[in-house]
Amino acid sequence: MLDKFKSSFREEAEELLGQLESTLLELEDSPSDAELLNAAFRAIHTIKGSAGMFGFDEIARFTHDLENVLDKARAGKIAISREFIDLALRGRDHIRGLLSSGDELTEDLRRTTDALVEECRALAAETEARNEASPGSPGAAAPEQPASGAPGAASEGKRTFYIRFQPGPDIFRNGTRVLSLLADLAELGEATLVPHVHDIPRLSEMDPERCYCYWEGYLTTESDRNAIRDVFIFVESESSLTIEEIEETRINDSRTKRLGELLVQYQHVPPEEISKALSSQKRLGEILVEKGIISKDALDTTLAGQNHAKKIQDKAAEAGGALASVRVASEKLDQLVDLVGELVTLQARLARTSLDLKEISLAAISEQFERLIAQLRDNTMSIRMLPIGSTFNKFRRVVRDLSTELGKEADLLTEGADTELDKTVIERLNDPLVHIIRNSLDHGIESPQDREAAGKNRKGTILLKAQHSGAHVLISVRDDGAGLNAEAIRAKAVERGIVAPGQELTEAEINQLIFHPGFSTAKSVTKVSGRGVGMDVVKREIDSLGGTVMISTERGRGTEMTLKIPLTLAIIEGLLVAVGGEYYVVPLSSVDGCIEIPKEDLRKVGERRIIPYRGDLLPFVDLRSYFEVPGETPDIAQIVIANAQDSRLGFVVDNVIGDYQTVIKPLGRMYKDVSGISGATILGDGTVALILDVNRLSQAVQAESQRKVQAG
Amino acid sequence: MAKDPAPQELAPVGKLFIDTAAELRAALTKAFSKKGSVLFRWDGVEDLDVPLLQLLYAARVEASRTGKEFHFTGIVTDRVANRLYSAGFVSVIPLSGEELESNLVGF
Amino acid sequence: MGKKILIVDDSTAIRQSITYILNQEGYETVEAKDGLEAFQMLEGLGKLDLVITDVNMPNMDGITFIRKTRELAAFKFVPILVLTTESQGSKMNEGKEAGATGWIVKPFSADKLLGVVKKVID
Repeated sequence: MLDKFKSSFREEAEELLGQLESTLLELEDSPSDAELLNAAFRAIHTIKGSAGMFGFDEIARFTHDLENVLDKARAGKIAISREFIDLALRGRDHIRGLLSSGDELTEDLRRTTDALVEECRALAAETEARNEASPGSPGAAAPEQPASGAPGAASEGKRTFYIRFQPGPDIFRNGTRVLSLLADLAELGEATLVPHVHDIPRLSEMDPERCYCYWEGYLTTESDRNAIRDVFIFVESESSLTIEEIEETRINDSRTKRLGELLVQYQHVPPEEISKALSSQKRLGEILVEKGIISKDALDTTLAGQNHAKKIQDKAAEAGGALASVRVASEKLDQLVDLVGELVTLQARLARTSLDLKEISLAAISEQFERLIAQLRDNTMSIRMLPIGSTFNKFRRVVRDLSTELGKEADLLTEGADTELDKTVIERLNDPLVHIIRNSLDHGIESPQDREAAGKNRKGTILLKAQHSGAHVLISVRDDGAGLNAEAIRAKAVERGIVAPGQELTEAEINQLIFHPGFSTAKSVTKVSGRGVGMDVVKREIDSLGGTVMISTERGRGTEMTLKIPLTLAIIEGLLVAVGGEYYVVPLSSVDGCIEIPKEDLRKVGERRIIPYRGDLLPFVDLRSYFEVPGETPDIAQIVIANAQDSRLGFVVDNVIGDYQTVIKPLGRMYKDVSGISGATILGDGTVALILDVNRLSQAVQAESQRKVQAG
Repeated sequence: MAKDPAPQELAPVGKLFIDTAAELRAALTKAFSKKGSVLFRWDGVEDLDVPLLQLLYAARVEASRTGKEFHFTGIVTDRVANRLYSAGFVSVIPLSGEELESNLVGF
Repeated sequence: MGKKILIVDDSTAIRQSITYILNQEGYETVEAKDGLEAFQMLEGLGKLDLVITDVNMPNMDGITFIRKTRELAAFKFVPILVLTTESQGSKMNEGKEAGATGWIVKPFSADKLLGVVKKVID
């Protein structure tokens, strides 16, 4: 592009070289004439500056050294000797030779260049050795700092820098436009800057041409530290500039941690101050600034860090939007579920508080918050969801193998294979489903001969079907077999001493008998089922999943077993109750009702521990004595009636607090051996609530009463 | 009671860099010395730099000390809005003076 | 609206090339062959958006030119870029002290020149 100015440069250089020759000769005669020396220097300087631009690289290569020698002579560091003039003249001649050689560079010329460079350097070095340090360009003054290890970030090619830019007070006066600089900075990547403006005085006292502001912020960029410095290159000497690479962990902290935690970690705020401030109604940051614990600047910068981390994340999410799927470590997913769980818990508390306060505006916020959290929860849970169909093939195999073994013919049909369910739930459903399907084949589906005799297709059908139903999934196994034989079940139950011979039972109650431990109706104990570990095991497993089992059957037409399973194990609906200072959660799926009972009546019941409920007499557990909670039962106690596996029972508590959506946390070692507890949850205020294992408690009660009966 | 005096309106035009700062300060000071509220109109501001912003912040401090009403009005040009955004003065791109007034950091 | 830029350099080749590059980009240019000529022109130029000046020039060097320009009310804050070479780190500082806004290191390509010009006045 600049080649068209080549001839212009050549003419100009010829002219300069002509002047240079006479200047140098004059200088030899009057070596103390500074003006002559300056003129010589200027000539070389101009040629040097232009040569590179117009493609005379060979000239540029050695005039740099020649200029250096002349500059040192100007500074009085090299004497104007005959040798000096000689060198300068030879240099001048060589430039001329190079100019006229055009684009053809001969080996001779190249050698001459090398020799001149050598000579110039040798002359300069002589003085160097004496005491002189050569002037360095300010741009190169700062040593390049090694990137402080952030391998993760580096691998993505982006790094995040903390930047503090405090312009000198006079920065505007030389024509610098600070907004322009900051726009250049922002162009390097994703920037979040905070201007600090509180030093700006009132109008009547300010100097309108002075700079009173400074900036702090974060930049995430593919560029390196030098590129950032380059933005400020013209103002670096008069401003204070800090560029620090931020480790990835800190960015992650900014994204995930609460403001309080960040201030403790990065601004050295004592944790006590945070908790003190948090207990107040105002915003944390405002209080800390008011109390002078942190500066407004430190707060703003920390907040900017949070915003920045969020911005980066959003950007990354946007960029990642094109991907069909991402792989995430299941641990991370669990953490997410935990966090969402805590939110759910906190929301429950907010809802309660807003109800207590009867503040309409708060209630509105709480409701909206609840909706959002419900969405967030569903979204999060959906990440853990797998289609149940992934296990269906296994069942097909079970049916095939088993029907051969039993001499029966059966097909397995499936429906709703794409129904999604929490991964852990699917895993735990596997055994119960295998059991139910075996049972269907073994007891339900008749032999081909029997089927033909009954006018049915020789081949039986088992339909495995999954479908969503609100927060639950219904999984049903339906066979077109003989259906349950109520009389046979009843007879067996009587035989086993499960029911009294004359006891009146509804059909549903009879059907439920097959879930009784030790029940088996098969005429012969087959290899497959009927080993006394039949359907009771299924029931227990489903119960532990927080689900229920329903049976419907029609003689001669078939049986259908339906499992109603919560979508996830991580969150349950529970009834929160209090005993003394302790909190317990009764899974809502097993709660039947609540009644009040005067303490007096409880005492009267005494050792028998039986209370009347809807015409029944139910055993109860006093949670205070069971869990050894100190304190006295209030005058009016509450009893929560719950359905256990095969019976109902009551729990005596001080207070029923209400419905509570909660997240199950695995039990810590402390609670591992406590019988009657299935898990724990953290309440909004940090208190731990234990989740009651209703079945275990029920068994404990039964064992207790049996012991008492035996003891007489 | 006397009618409210008409607001003093400042409607500077052009690129408001450092070279206009002294002049603008004088104009603002004059407006503040008169009765009534002061309005700063953004329509004519083609470009700006920190000195203008400092003046506006200073005027805000002045206003809060003296109990004077000081507000922004008009349309904020894209150029100005983008510059304010990239330097962190606003976290949303403002369209109007009113919007800018309520979003300007620390204002 | 085109921006007006004053180019001050004793090298015609340099002046011409800068002019050429800037005109291509739509900037309006004015040339002066040294500090003195430039300074004498200033009054008649009206509003300037940028000055690009060499340092080593006969009659009036670039540093003196910048200093005197800053003394004129109309050019007190005009952005000024100094043309310099890498070996002249001290000149950059001298230029800054005299009131320059920034510098362009010679030799430079068209892109580099435009980059710096835009950085300062865009």
